[in-house]
This record gives sequence, structure tokens and C-alpha cells, in this order.
Amino acid sequence: MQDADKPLICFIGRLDEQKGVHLVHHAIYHALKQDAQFVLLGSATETGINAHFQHEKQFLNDNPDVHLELGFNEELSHLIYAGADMIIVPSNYEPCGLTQMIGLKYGTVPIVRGVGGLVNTVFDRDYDETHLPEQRNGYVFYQTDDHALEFAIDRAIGLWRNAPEEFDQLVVQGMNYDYSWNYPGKDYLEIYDLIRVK
Amino acid sequence: MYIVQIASECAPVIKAGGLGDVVYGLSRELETRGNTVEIILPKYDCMRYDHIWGLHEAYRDLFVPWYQSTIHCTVFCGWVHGRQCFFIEPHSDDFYFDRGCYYGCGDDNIRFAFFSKAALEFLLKSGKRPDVIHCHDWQTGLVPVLLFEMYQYIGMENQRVCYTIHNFKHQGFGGENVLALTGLNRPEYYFNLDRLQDNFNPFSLNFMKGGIVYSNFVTTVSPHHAWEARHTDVGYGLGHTLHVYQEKFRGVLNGIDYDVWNPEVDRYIPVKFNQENLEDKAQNKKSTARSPPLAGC
Repeated sequence: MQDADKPLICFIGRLDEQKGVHLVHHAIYHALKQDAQFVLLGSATETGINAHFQHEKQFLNDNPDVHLELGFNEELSHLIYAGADMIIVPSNYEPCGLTQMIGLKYGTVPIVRGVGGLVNTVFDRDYDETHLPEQRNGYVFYQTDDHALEFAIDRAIGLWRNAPEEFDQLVVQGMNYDYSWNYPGKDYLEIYDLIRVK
Repeated sequence: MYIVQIASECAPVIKAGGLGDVVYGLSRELETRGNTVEIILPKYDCMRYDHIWGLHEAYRDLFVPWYQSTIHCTVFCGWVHGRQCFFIEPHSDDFYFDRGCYYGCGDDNIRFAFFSKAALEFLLKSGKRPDVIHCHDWQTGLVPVLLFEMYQYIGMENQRVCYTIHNFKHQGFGGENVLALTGLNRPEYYFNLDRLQDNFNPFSLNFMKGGIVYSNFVTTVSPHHAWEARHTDVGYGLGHTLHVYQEKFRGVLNGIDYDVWNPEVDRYIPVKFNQENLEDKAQNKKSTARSPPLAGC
């Protein structure tokens, strides 16, 4: 893959229906159409999906702006989180979700579908109604069609290109969030204290 | 506070999905905050023994009542990256945890019903009386059922249960045989929509539903998922049960391990960075493009 002055979007995770695999596929081609770069690190559990992405990998093999890495690679995942500008999480179903929280810690702006734990961790820069502008940290879309995804990606790429200082500000706002076990630990202790025999 | 976690996974020794990370990460945070935490796990043949320090026999002859007999078990103790874990090893012809896998056997429901029973029997016989038992997912859904229908009458009247659901998709099902094996018996009592009877299949007992009905508190892994599970189809049929027990149901967001995932200390990235020096993140972008797997094309 070439080192270029283009926004780098990544996807890290399992490739299956639950993770919104059809939108992952569309995101690759939409990123290329918008002259961005795309890195995918993921493994498919179903043979059909695996075959599909192997085919895509062959098809895109000579394109210097995209790389599909099919399989697990813990070490590479750290590097991608650190190196990418944005991470997409277009899940159909996501009880909590970890990749968006890791992305935020590494200053990689999350572009997520508004389901499950993604709703509680990512707040849309332009449209969030519950957080002040200085508390927002990413981009959220709600529907499962291509256009919903494109609209969120385009806003992220647009900010990266046209207002880099503001993009950096969004990155910093995301990095300021604490999604460690600190607060959940406190929450569970409150629950334990509520139910225990005193 | 004294907390015992009963779970089918704990990272990194037993990790199939996110559950293992939560059991480990939460336990460590609770200890950091000054609590005593012990973790009870099955002693799988295929777990990562290289992540256990100081594995030794802790309780030699644990006889777990099972159907009209008992199953002889040995309980081992060891430390997994600082967390004290107890591993239950049953000696029976069923080889419940010697299958070369964690899940995916035809009798998974029986294997984990046994594990749930054995974990409680171990607490009872070893004199452990935690303030809170925290169990997770369908595999340990029968723990609160067994505690409040049996074990509270034979010495465990002060224990309370917090039950966390990581994934509503897998709920654990069984028939009358589960009641006979665990000693719960009384099918006419448990096959009741207010207890364990599945909300769709009247001939099936639902372990996860049992966990919800009998636990003192129920959580899932984010506040919005708690709402979704109760109000939409991602509760996979348990929405109404959650609605009935809404007063004791809440979403608590999982955490991530900032010892592993932290760009200030990450040993896998060439240039460490934080909010103060974003230009160093840009260095990593160049390294990503040039890294061996990616540079090839």
C-alpha cells in the first residue's frame, strides 16, 4: 500500500452478518471512489463470505490505496488502530462493541451504526442531541443502506480534507474519553452493594 | 466485599469471545478497588495452561450430587495474571470438559448445568460464603435457580446473585432431564412461564430466563442494548421477561483494558503518542502503509 496524503479508513473485526458485512464491502469501494485509503483486518466464519473477500482481495490486489488482510493478527491490529484516521463499525447487532472504544483511545475517529453499545460510546459530531459539540467524538448513521453509510463517511472525509484542525480537535475529544474498567467497576460495585445482605 | 465470579471463560486462559475479557477485566478492577475476587471455571483440557501460575489441588474429593448418584470432582487453584481462579475437574465417563473445545458439543446444556451445580457445591463444601456471586451468560443461568431453590436451605442463605448477559442469541435449553440430573426435579413447578419455561416452546426450559427470573440483579453490556433487548427483537424472545423484571435490569458498559490498548505504552506501535502530540500518530500512519503485510501490494 502506498504512503499517501489521503484519509485512511479501517475495519477491524469479524466478517459476518452481525458485523454488517455488506456495508463493510460497500465502504471499501466508497472510500476508493472518494480517493481515500482503506485497510481491512478481519476473518470470516462462513465459507461463502470468506470466498467473497478472497475474491475482492485478488480483484483489488494492484490498487495502491487498499489492503485486505484476511485472518487474525493481534500485532497488526495495534498498528492499524494507531495508523488509521477513521474506523468503521457498521454492525447490525452490537451489544457493547470494543473496536470503537479502542479506536477512540488511539485517536481513530469512529464511524458507526447507531445500535447497542455504539450508541452509548460514539456521539455524532454534527447531529448529536445529547452532547455538547466539545464532547462529540465521531460519526453515527442509523439505517443499513449504502446511502446512510456514505453520508457518514463523506462527512468524516470532508472534515479531514477541508478542516484538518477541526478534525484533529475531534480526534482529541475522542481520546479524552475514559472507556477503561474504571467507571464500569464502580457501577458493578454499586449494584453489588445494593443487593448484598448487610 | 467478597465476590465470586462463576463463568465459562476467563481471558487469556479460556477465551472464545468477549465474555472472557469481561470476566478478567472486571475482576481486576474490583480487586484494584480493594475487594476480594475469586473466579470459578471449568477445567477444560484445551485451555491455555501456560497462562496459569502455580496450579495445584485445592479441594480433593468434591462429590457433586448428579441424578441419583454423585460425580467425583477435584478442584484446582491457580493464578491467571494475578487473578485467583478455581478450576473444577469432574471424573466421570462423560468427560464434560475433556472435549478439546469449550463449546459446540451436543450436550452443552448438560455440561454447563453440571458446572453450575458443581460450582455451588464447591462453595458450600469449602465454606466460601461470598457477598455476591456474579455469573455470566446462559452457561451459568442455573446458578441462581439452584442457589435459591436448594442451596439457600442448606447453608447459603446470605449469598446474592448478579447475572450479566453478554449475548441474548444463545440462551441454553433443556428438558425434564436437566431437572432430574441437577436434583431440582418437580417439572410441574419449573415448567411455568413465571419460572423457567421458555416463552415460545412450552416443552423447553430456558436457562437464561432462569437466570433473569432468579437473580437479584440482571445486567447486559450497555445501556442501549438493555433498552433494545427489552423493546425490540434483539432480546430473542426474552423481551417480555426483561419487561417484567425491569426494576432489577440495567445496562452497564464494558470497559477495555488500557494496559493493552493504550497508544502511550503500546509496544506494537513504532511511535507512541497521546493527545498532546498528534503528529506522532501521523508517523504510525506511514508505518502502517509500509508494514510487511501491507507493503506487499
